[in-house]
Amino acid sequence: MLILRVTPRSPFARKCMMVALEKGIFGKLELRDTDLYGENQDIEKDNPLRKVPALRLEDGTTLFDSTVICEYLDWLDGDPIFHPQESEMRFKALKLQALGDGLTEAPQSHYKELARPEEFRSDEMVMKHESAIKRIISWTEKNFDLVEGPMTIGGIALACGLAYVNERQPNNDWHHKNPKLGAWYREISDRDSFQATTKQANARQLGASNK
Amino acid sequence: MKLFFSPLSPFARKVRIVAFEKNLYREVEFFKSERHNRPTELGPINPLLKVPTLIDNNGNSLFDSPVICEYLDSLTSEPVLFPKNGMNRWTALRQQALGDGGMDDAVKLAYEAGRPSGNRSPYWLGRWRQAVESTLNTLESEAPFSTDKLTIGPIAIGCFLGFLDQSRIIGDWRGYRGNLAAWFEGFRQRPAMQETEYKK
Repeated sequence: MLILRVTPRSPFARKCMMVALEKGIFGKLELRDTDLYGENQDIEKDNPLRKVPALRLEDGTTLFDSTVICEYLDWLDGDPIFHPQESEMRFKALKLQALGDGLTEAPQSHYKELARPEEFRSDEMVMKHESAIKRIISWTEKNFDLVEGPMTIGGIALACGLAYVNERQPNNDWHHKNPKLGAWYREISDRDSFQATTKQANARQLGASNK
Repeated sequence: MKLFFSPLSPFARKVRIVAFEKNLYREVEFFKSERHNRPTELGPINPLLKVPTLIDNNGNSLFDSPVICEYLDSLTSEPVLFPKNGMNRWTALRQQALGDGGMDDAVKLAYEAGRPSGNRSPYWLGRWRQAVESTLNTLESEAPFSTDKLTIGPIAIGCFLGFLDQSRIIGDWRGYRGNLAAWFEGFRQRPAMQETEYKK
């Protein structure tokens, strides 16, 4: 078994789960819920950076971050391939992944800044992260050719990023202002791999496997 | 090709080292991008507004640093910094993730330390410092890193350690980490490391 360290809401763990589901190798993974901030922290033995996701292979080797784990899972099995070999397609996919991962980080940093006690909070940083979310989404709408084409790791990363924006900012109306991206997102969010990895679905899944 | 970089950025240094090791240094125009100019310079090509950003041979922009490094690696045959397959590849990518992750937290620590004194979060200062320290401990237990067949792994680790020296953000990291310190003493002599070292 491969042990995947996750939390129910981690968008980076979600990328890995979606790749495994799309490839039909989800059964090879044992998901393990991870306490990142509480009293039962033990992620350090699988990842000194203390982040999820981390993947422990059968020989004890640990892999991280999500980009490495996704590529490893993709390599384990055949079609569909999410990391194309052909150069132009490959770097387009990897660039879109970097964009999607960057989008995911913005609401994460925004949330963490807002969660600080007032004296340690910086309005400037809150605004900086807030405008990054807007800027990245509208750039992606303008450069939509990067998103079009067969599904790659880039599309998965972008979908996880947009889903995370929705979760942290339920009132963000980016869908209306960015119609191409909005329509693309509606389509991908119908996929089984997407539905099966929402925070709620993950919590259920982890609850069941923790019994 | 054109690389937007900053002399202080350890991620940009990684790309410069790769360009050097791949014998592509002369193919790249290095453009120093100041923070306050990035919305104008990078806005149209990289909405993350981060260095390094590359304009590749086809005029397309590429980011972030692992993507640029792998792209440069694909342009010339030797040395192969991203092994194509198998455990060598996962070892190299895992090491790169350790180096990059360490840099990420060290950079965050430096930004936090740069906030006005009353505005620094003791919690995050502690958490990031701990992540940097435990990454160093993992590296100490795995050092030395083979450079007979150089990969992106040791390059990223070298950039991480170089950033710690340059920023002094956690003070002396070498104490109790003799393996890592000895390895880095050798690694930092490489011409690519010397060429890209930050000089005040």
